[in-house]
Amino acid sequence: MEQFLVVFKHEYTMFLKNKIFMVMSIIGIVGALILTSIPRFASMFDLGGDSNGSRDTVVLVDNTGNGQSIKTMMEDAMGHIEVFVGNFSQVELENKIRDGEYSSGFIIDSINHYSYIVESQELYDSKNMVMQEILKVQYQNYLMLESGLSAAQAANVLSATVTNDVVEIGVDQAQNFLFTYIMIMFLYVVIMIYGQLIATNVASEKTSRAMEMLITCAKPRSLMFGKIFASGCAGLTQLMTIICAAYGGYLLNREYLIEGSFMEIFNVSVSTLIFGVVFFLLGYFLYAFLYGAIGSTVSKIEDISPAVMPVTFLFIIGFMITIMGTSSGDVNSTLVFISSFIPFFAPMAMLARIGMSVVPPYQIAITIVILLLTIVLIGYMATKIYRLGVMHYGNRMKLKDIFKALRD
Amino acid sequence: MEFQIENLHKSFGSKKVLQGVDLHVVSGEALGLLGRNGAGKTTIIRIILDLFGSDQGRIMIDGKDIGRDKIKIGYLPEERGLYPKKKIDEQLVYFGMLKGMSKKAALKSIDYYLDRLDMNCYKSAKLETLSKGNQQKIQLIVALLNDPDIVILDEPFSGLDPVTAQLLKEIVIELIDDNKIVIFSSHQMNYIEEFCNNIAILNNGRIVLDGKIDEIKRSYPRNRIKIKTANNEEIIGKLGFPAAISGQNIIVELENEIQTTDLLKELASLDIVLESFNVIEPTLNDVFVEYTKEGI
Repeated sequence: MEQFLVVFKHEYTMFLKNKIFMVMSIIGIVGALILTSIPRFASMFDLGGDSNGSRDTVVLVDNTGNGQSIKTMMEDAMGHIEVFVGNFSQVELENKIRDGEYSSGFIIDSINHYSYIVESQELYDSKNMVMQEILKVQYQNYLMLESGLSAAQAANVLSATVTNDVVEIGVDQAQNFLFTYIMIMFLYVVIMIYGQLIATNVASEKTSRAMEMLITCAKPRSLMFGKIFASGCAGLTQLMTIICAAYGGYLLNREYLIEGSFMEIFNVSVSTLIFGVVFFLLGYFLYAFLYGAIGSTVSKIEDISPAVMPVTFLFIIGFMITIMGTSSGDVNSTLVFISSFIPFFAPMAMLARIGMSVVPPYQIAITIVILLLTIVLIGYMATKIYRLGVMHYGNRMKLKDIFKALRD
Repeated sequence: MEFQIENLHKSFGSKKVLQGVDLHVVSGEALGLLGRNGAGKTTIIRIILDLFGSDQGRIMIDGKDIGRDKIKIGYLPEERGLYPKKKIDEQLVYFGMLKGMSKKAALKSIDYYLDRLDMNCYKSAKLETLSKGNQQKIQLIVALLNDPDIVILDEPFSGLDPVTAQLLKEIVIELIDDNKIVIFSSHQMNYIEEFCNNIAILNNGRIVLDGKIDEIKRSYPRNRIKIKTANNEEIIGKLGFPAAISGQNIIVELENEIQTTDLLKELASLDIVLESFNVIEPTLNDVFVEYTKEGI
């Protein structure tokens, strides 16, 4: 225990003094401040936008005689837009748009067909959608009048709507989606970065041959556990610093925040938050031991990347399954369900299920037990591999070498 | 204190590395562990350090199984290296604390050894800025920091300049005088001869020869005599024994040791200036080669 503390303290201070660690922290802090300041910048930008009067200019060539009413509806539906009703041929209109005189144009040929002319369509071009909706209603109205309905009857049909109430007894997926997504992303990034750091750290001790001395001064278990707990704590320190920066940014920019938008991320239940931390830690230790063990099997820094590849792949597969599950909204699909009991995928998959659906407590308990058992097993094996690996120099150990050595 | 290894066996896979090794050293003595590359020296050391277990055999202190919590072992590995980017004093304190010392005790010991090894000026330098020999001194400090009962030095002299080697020699002699058990592993036979009362030659995982160096040498026939006179050419014809000139000397081949006196008498009867007269003993090198030339 004493040795563990000595290693822990040493490794922890090493982390804090590490340049990469510092740069990562600074980027995190700056990023958090910028993100929380976006509403302030956005409001400044909005003010500038209005005074400049940079409006979208759209030409409407109408052959159906409804030009003026379409223009009004269009301008009402959209904010920064100016509609000019004109009479051009398609070629003339194309030239005007190409020259930049107008940003886009509509040619309405008949009541149920129009052409939209634009330089290049944006990913979400709302003008076209609005136009389509306006003309659709007009066409429906026309068809109803044709079939003998009165104007009032037609208006009635068109304005008919259904009201509804949502009674939610489980978890609000939409609200928790962002939180779950952020937690999983965070878990992914932290494990990826710290896993690699641990592997590199162990391997560099081997490269510098400090290991030969270390292993004779301290027990492999103290060295391995000290290192992994230290990097875990360094990670948490970094995380807390960034969260503090984000909170500071929030306080500074509070007045610009639109009520019910930004801070809603944190508006999740306490239990979800606690499970988030629990699965975060379980996932971290599981992968940290794996990365640590792998780091001890290589003796050259350049051998690390190929050696950690299998573990990284395993991790990415788990991440992909979870992200696909959360994105599709179906976090209880067979794939995610099974994954939430497979130790290497479980931290992320179970977190997604808890965040976005109602998971029976016994299932959460099973996953936690499975994870704890796996961590103990992997921790035990990792220490053994570490013990063997640190004395193995030369070519990196293949999986079969490791098993062979473990048997001996 | 008596350190003893009994019937040590160790295999890696199907390869038998150690096949029944026995060793014996007592306090205030140094043992030279000799063997060609791959003979199993490092494996023995690693088993002593408990880096891995043996398949069979015992390691004992005063007839009882070694208690690793009670016995402090200092080890200087053959592969040199510590943290290159850390300051000397910082990493020495770290290693001292890993060995269970308090920070204060570690600092005191560090100051003593830095001073003893003439390294005080490097106290807060980064390791990587030191020369190879100086880095080795730092590593020696790690091995000796916590006043170990048993000191194991793996090739301690390789890469040291004569002055540093002399300094290290003095420290080793101090350790021996201080009643420590010192185990040397080296290929530099002259150093082994200088410090070690006992040697053990390891070949193919077995101890092929062990004992006191003097006795081992004495066990060889002492029938070759090296003499040096003012005029070798003239003398050689007058001798009643087969002789040949070798460099500055005459080597005389006797039939047995008893004839040594006859040769001396004969030389005395000749009216010559005798500069030296030596019974040729095998060097440790000769002994080593003889016992280990059979392949590994």
